[in-house]
Amino acid sequence: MIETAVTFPGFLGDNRATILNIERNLLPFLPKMICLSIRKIPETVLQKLEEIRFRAEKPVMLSTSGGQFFLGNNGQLLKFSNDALFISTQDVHKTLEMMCEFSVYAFEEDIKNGFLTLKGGHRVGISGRTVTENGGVKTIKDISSLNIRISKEILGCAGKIIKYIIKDNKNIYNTLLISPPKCGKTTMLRDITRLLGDGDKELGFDSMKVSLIDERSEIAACYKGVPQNHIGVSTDILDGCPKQEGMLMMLRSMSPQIIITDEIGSTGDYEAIQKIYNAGVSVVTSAHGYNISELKSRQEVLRLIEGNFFDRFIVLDNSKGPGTLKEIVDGSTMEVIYKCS
Amino acid sequence: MFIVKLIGGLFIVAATSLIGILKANEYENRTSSLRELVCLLQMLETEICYKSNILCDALLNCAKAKIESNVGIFFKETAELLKIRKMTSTEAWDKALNENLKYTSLKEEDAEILKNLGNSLGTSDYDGQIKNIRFVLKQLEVQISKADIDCIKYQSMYKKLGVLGGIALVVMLF
Repeated sequence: MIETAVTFPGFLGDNRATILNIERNLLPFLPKMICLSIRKIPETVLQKLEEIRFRAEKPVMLSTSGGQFFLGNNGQLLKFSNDALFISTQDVHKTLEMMCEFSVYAFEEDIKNGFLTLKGGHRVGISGRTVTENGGVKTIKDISSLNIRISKEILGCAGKIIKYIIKDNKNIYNTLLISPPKCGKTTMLRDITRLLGDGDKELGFDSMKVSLIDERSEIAACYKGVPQNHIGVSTDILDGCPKQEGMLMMLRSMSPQIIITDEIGSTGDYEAIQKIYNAGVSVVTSAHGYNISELKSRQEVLRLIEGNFFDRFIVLDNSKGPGTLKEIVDGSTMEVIYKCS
Repeated sequence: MFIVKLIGGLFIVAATSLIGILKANEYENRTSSLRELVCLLQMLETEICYKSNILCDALLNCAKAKIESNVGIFFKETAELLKIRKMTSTEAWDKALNENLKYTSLKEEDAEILKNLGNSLGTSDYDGQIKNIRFVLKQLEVQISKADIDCIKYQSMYKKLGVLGGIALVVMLF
């Protein structure tokens, strides 16, 4: 069964929500000059904005799906830094202070981990000089760089995939999403979580008890424990917890039907997923990679593939914009169910 | 004529006594304001370190406490300034102090100590916050004992001065 290629319309179209989210939840924190300039960026460009980078005493940079640019005084995207807008060290500090709501103590743990999540799901990466204690990072001081990653929630982007994941109205296939970086893996996983948690009348499956282990707060983007993204009504979130420990914790405590987590492939993941598998709980997860054969070169993932835990491999790529479905492969027979032509 | 003079004299004595009492009360108000500030700062410490509220909420909760003097105004104003996100916590605290000092019975030297609180308000980890607040608390304790001595020294003096000064003035005028 081979169907024609489809890029999900949600990935490209209706992005008004993204812009509103930037205006409401991000711009109030930025220094005035930069805020004014960003407001002058045309909406069509703003929709494609992926990152805003602040480096102390250096020009402000924006990353869009079209590449990296310097920000000009009037919202121009420049290739060269000559007329770019610079940001001072004080402004970098002030921005972070505001993002912490003037309460650095309350975000201590986040800063230690190197990032914090804003309301609206934007994530801010922090780097500077670390203070270490007993071999671990105690805090980061003299913050010199901030990387603001714009939250892009695209509702309905997994609408096409979901029917390959559902077995019947109460069961799903164990699924591994495979995609190179920046191809919409996390966005896709988030929408799958939402669909599974909400259930769908049209596709004929019930809402299921989903446990989400959100190690890097990327999927649900919890702000003070409340998910900022739509992840379904019957989804429980374990935020900021290491995956392996989190998967087993949720397995014990929340009696899930499905466990969802991002980016497997580190040592110990095999054992954790094996335990979930043995408990009869389904798992949906993702891994970095360009295709299945490339994944096999990574030992921990190879063990998982050879262990026959996964019924479905879904490969994404960037050929027709982020989130293009490349192929879907049956895990047990390795037969291609769907292929992008 | 004598009656009129007598009534006038009584008015003068009453007025100067009142001025004396008000002046004396300032000393008392300062000590009670300082004491209440200590309470509020201890509350702030709890709000920050144990309840882990963000600074704005922590300050507002402190400002809501029922106290007699109006030192809570510093907390309230700072929180309001923080809400509009135009300045850092240090700037906001300084501004709130400078603008509202005149409405309280505190002296300039008390305000200088309170400014120290602003230096790292909200900008460090829990340990840093505790140390900063305790440091200010210690200094405030010193101010309280100074204010107590002033109070004993000057309170009764100003009261007496008011009454006696009034009588002296009346005698001179007669």
